[in-house]
Amino acid sequence: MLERKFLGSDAMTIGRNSTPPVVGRRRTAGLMFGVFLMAALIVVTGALLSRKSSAPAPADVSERDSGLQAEPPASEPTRPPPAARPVEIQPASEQPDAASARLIALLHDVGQPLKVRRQAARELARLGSNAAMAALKRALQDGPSQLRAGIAESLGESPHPDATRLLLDLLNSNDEAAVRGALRGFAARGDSDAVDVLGRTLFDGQKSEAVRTEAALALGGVNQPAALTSLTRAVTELGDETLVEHALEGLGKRPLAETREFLTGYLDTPNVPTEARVAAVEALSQAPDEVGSFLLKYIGDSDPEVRAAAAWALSAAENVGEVRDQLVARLKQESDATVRQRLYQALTSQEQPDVLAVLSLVQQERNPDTRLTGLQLVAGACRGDNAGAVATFFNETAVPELQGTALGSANPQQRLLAVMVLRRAGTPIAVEALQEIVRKSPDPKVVEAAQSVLRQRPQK
Amino acid sequence: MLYNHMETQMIRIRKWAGAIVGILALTTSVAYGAMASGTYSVEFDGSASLWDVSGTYDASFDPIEINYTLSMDPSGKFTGEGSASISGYEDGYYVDLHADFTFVGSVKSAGNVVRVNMSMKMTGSGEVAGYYATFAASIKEALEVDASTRQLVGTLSGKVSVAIPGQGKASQAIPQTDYAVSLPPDMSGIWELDLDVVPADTKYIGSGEVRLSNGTSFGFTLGGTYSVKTDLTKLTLKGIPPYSNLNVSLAATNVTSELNIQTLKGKLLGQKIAVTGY
Repeated sequence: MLERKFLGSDAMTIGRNSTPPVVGRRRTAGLMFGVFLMAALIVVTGALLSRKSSAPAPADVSERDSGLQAEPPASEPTRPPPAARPVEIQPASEQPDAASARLIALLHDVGQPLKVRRQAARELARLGSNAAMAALKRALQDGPSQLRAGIAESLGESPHPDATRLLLDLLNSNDEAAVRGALRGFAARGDSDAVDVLGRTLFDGQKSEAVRTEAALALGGVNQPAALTSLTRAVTELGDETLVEHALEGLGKRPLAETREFLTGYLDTPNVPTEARVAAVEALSQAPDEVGSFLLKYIGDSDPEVRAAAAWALSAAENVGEVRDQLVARLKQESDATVRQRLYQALTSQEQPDVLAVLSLVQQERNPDTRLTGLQLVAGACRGDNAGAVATFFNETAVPELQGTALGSANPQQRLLAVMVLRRAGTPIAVEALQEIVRKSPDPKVVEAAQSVLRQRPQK
Repeated sequence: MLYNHMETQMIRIRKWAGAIVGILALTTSVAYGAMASGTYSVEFDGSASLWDVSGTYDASFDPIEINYTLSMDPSGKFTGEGSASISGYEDGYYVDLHADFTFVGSVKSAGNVVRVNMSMKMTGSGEVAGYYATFAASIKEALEVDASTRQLVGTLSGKVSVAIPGQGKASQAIPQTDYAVSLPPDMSGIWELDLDVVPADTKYIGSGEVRLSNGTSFGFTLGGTYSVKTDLTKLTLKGIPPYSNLNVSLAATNVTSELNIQTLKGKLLGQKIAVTGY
């Protein structure tokens, strides 16, 4: 039912990268990501509860527009997501409706925060009315650079017939941020013309590095075979290190299923510089599909920088599958302190890592940065009822050590990280240490970090 | 060629030289003309700025409080820990939720743009409308540094899912949403390069330090050469382990009166620095 509604024949599609907005009064909550997140959570929860209470679920407008995707029963085949979101063009009118007028007022209000004005621009672009387009054009003339960039990007989602022409005009703007925004706008359009524009920009030697790299990143988000071709060409043909690294990053944003063959060949080619191999591996942290099994190969690479990159990508990627055992096994063999640091980070990102299996390794770490990262992993396992030896070690050994680091390390990064580790642990002893740090630390950043934890501890 | 640093570069140079260093410099200048010697301090900003996102980000939007701390290492990678809580009536439901989240991200530059990519994973639990609920969210943020406002500006998108025991699970995509957040107040992008240069025949040895506006610093070993023919001092700074992948190289002339940098290149905090002629 959802699919039929999304793909109505009267609807104008705007490209595969678009995602439906949350409707109603929650829409403006997107102006601040935390508010938005909580709002999305409440919308999902509310819809879930209402569906349960009135089966079969009504295909109401709020469910459709919120993009709610209830997970089907195990026996039911998963329905593919809709390929595109329809947007109905509002009839042209001289006077904007009340909602548009409010957005237009926000867009032009110089007293509003930048994110509010940009989000207003995005929602106006999505509306696609003549009044909205007129307001966007005006803001493009007199708005600050990052607002123009936001408008340019948003035009990629606009169904207004002038949007593409305006995007093309913006490519020649003197404001480089707006040019880069326009490239992201073309990526949102996602059609073959957009790929052509992005590809030409990437290979245009007259364009700046910032613009060409933006084109590479934008191509990574376009679901067209020609986009993949442009990026692989850039990796193999362009000599500039920065451009190649960003073309690889663009490739990394695409599904690994598409790029696996190319990346495998590239990474295994002799004489590819370490920097490029690192970029290729790290880029996979952006991939939308499962990348764990691919990256595991490279945590055993002969080059420690590549090993560190693979471990870092495992920590940052959204979907790595089950790699805990392999990470622990690698950690036990790894001799490079930086690589071990990244392996601890990767384990920290895993759900329920086997901390007991690496506790003795953490206890033996001598490199301060690596040890802190190891303690960060251990800290996450301290709050459970069965924390046992982990909690004992943390409370008795790690907490005093971390307090000492936060108060006495000459390295500001280590001082801050020590507070973060105590925060993660959240044990009463760790909280006491944070209170002591607030009282004694001469470093305002450390005090601020510790205070923020104490302010927000849940009342239990 | 990569960017026109001439237009925006605002570099102030000063030389600190004590009496002993002054005598040494005089001695070496007699021997080698314009060979560098002593301590130098050079300050950079504008398009040569370096950005460190480390710090605590705090926001209170009644009834939601959110805060997190990021810590960035010299390679430009960072991790973070944060939490959020909400308690009160929302959309007619009583809500009492607490969530913890972790961040992993990196900072990279290309030309004059500094991009910050961040992945956030969030898990939490609490009460919604009388039900115990657990939830998880994953969010990706694509931001860039806006030097003029000292903000991270860009978009975020992701997915949130909720499970209510006995009721089921549901998930929702978080659409692309604009986002901007101010950098910590002590992060201005300005950084200082301190050099302690010791001439040895026509070569140099010594040490260096990069100091960011927020007080973070990185040490370097210094090496280099001097050409009498071109009056050009070339210095290479390599990060002290474990930061050995940090590097800065520079070429300067007229070094007895000040460090007149012709070119400076390097990679620090994931950001490429390229300064030409001033």
